[in-house]
Amino acid sequence: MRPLTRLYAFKMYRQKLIYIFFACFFTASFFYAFLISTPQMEEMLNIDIGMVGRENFPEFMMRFYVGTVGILFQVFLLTLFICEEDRNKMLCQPLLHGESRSRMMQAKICVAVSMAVLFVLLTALINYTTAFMRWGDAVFEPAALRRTAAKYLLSGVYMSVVTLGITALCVCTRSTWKTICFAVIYLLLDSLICDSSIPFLQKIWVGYYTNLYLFTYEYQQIPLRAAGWGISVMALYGLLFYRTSLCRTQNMAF
Amino acid sequence: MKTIISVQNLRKTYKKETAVENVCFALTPGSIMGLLGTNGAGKTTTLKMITNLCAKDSGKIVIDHVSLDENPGLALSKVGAALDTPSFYPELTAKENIACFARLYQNISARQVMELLAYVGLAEQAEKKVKKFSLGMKQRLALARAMLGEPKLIILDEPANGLDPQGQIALYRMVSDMAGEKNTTFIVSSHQLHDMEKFCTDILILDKGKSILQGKTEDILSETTDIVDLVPEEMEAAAQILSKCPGISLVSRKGNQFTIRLEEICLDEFIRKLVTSRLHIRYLAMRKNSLQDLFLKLTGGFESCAH
Repeated sequence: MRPLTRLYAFKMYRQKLIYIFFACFFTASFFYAFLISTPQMEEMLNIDIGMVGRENFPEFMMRFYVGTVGILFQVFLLTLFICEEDRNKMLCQPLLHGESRSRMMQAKICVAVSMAVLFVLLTALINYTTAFMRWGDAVFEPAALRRTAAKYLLSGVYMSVVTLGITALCVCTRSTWKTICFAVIYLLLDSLICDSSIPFLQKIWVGYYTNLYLFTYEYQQIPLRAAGWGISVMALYGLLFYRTSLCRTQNMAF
Repeated sequence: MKTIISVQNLRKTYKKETAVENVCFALTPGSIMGLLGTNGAGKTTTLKMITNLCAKDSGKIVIDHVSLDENPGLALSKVGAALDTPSFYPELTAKENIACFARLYQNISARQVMELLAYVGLAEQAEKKVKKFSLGMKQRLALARAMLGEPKLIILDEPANGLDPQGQIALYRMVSDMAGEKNTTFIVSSHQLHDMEKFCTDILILDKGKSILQGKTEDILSETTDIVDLVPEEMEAAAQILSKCPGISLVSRKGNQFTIRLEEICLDEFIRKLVTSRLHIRYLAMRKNSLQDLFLKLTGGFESCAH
């Protein structure tokens, strides 16, 4: 790992927000695991415990992170990591120590994307832990485990692309509030497009595939074709966001 | 002679406004250049272009024989800089902040970090969080950070801001010592003209983005004219006599004192003219033109003083 990447990783993992967020997520996951199996809650939440409990619980809980909550969490973290550092004149500091702009941005992106993937894995760990505490070995049913692992990995890819998108937004707007506003607009557009009946638009929309994996193929194996298309579209978006961030960084005046 | 930095025809415009135009200078190792100018004169823009924080429209910058355009990474590895208001990670201690940036260099040990902090007088505050630091302490810490990796050129943008008088003197002594002992070259932008006059070997004055004076400090000051402070018995009579006296220019009139610059006349001759005019004088003293006088003259500050 390059020294600048190490420096940013060190800085990122000192953010208290991360620990508070995952403590809350663990609490929510724990309570869900223990509450949804009571008849009263089943009725109240209108859910089928036979469906969402046991080996399906980690997949059921995944949607609480991969989507609005996870994206907004990433937005807050990345605006602190990029926009606020820019505002406090800290973003340009490595440039005063012989680092190039592209190396600086690559280091930021490397830390941000690793963090996005790590957080998805962390949610998997939390959900499996709480599910194991509630249902024991039953949560590790091999077929469901393979299926859920694939979904977590695809969600990791999606969250990485979203992270690249937020990074590009931060670099282009250089403003915390503008980035948050654009992220909210993205979330609104995402739900609009995913619920729409325009197949072409859906096929080129990055958020559509996660929606497909989490809801259309809920508790089912994802067909290879759908996974392949999704990964290709996400990779294209990721590349576009990555290039945008690097190009914009070259032209930034500090 | 070896130059550590050479700047040629530097130019920068923001939309239609010219911020810096045709700025040129070259510095040898161990020199300290004072970059002076009024607010908005283009000092910070010049420094940001040298450190590649802002793109120049045209011009050439060569640092230790490496072109900034061709190899910015290598060129800037020889530069340390503290620009704008000093900024740090507030929740980290002074030592952690410096250690963070020390990681960008090879072979800077924790002991060397402590030595740097001791050098800038922050050894006792090393474990204190930066958010509890005063502006003066942050300025010192910024200097320590700029010194990481022993750069050949250190750029300081208004480093004396927020420092008490003792702190200012200590800072300029530190700069002076480093230039002398380690042959480090400094570019210091400041409004502390009195200190700049004492510590800088070179001066560059910018006005509206253009270089209006540059050279060795001693040469600049030796070529300047003499200044006379005069307190007459009667102000109006003195004003009339002085307005008719050739070879002088009125610098300012404050209270009961005139400040006059002797342009084409020597002191003896001036006094003789006052005596023959029968002007009663309470006080008369001559002093050498200071950098401040020169700066005010060149940037048009005397007019505002005179009024």
